[in-house]
Amino acid sequence: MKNKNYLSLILIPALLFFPFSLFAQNPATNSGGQVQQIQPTIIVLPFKTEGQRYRTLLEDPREGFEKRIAISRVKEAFDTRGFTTVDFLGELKKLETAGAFTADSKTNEKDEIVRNSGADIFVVVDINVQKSESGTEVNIILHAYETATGRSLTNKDASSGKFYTSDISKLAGRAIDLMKEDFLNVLQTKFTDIVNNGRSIYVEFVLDQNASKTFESEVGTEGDLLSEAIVDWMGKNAYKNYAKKKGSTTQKILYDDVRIPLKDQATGLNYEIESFGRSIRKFLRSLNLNCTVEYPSGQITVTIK
Amino acid sequence: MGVRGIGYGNNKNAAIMEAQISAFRVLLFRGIPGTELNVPMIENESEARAKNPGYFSKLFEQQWYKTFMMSSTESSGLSYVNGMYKISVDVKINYVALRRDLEQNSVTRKFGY
Repeated sequence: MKNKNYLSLILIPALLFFPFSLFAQNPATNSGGQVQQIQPTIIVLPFKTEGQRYRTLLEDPREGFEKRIAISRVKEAFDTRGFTTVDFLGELKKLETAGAFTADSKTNEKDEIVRNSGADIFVVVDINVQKSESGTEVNIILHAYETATGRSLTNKDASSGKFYTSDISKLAGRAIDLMKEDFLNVLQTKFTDIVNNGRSIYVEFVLDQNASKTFESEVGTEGDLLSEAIVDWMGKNAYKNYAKKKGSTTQKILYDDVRIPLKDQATGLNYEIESFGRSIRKFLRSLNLNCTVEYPSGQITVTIK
Repeated sequence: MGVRGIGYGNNKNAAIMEAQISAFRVLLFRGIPGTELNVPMIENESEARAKNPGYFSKLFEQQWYKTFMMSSTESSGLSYVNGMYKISVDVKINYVALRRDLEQNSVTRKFGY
C-alpha cells in the first residue's frame, strides 16, 4: 500500500509535467504562430549528353565559358525574382571531393548532383553557338523538371539573333533576357497549381523478402486484401483524392503521382513528406503490419515486413 | 515593357486615361501572346479583384498606375466613334516595379510557393 502511494507521488507529477516539457515550444524559436511556407529548391545545370562529364564540359577551353555564362545568367534571372538557387558548381565540387565520380564509375552525374543537392526542381540549360560569315547567333533552351516525378514543368527556347560579334556572353544574355520572364512566369503557374492542388510525390509499397503477408492477404476486419486496403487508404488520404497508381506487381504497388498539401490542413503548419510517410506507417500498423519508410529524393518507399 | 492601349472617353483626356488603363489591364490579366509576357501577371482576375478590391481601386480609379508608367505617347490621332472619342496610346510600363508592388501588397505571390 505504502509502495503504491510512493509510486503515485512520483508518477502523477511526472505524467503531468514530463510530456509537456518534452513537446513544449522552445521559447527561443517561438514565432508566435507565424508560419513561413517552405520553398522549393532549384538547381540550374548545363545540358550534357550521355558519357560527358560536367567538369570537362565546364572547363573546355572553347565552350566552357559559354556554358558557365549561360548558367550564370539563368541563376541571375531567378535572383531578380528574389529566389536563390542551389549552386551547381558547389554541389559538383562536393561530390568530386567525396569521390562520387571516378573514371570507371557508372554513376549518373546529373542524378547524383540533383539528389545530393536536395533540389525539388532542376533546370537544364542547353546553349548552342552558331558562327558563320553572316554573324554569330546563340540559341538557348531552358527546361525545368520536377525531381521527384521527372515531370516536365516548363521549357522555353530563344535565339539572340545574328550579330557580328564574338561576345558570346552578351548574345547568351540577350537570348536569356528574351525568354526568362515567360519561363519564370510559366514556372510560377505550375507553382500555383502546386499551392492549390498539392505537390506531387512518388510512393512505392514494397514487400520485404521475409514479409509475413502478401498483397493478396486479407487484412483488417472487412475482408479487404492488403492491396485493396492500400488503394482505399491512398485515395482517401491523398490531397483532394489525387493518388495516381502507376501499376502493381506481386511485390510492389507503385504510385507515380500522389498529391500532398503544402500545409497541414488541420494546423496550417508546413506539411512535409515525412508527415505523409508517418500516416502511412500508422495506417499499416493499424492492420498489424510493420514497415520501414524511406524518403529518397521526394519519394516515399514503404517496405512492408 | 511597351504596350499599346486603345481607349474611349467623353473627351480626349478621358480617352487617353482609358487607353493607359487598358494597357495595364492587358499586362495584368491577359498577357501578350507571342512575347515574353505571354502569361498574365495575375492568373485569376476575378479572384484577385474579389480579394483585393482596395488595391485595384487605388491602382485604377485613384490612378496609382501612373507611378509605374515610364512614358505615354499618343500613337494615333483622336477620332470620334459612336459618340465617344477614341485614341491609341503607347505606354512604357515599369514591369519589374509593378510586379514587386503586386507582391508587396499580396495580390500575387512572390516567386515560389
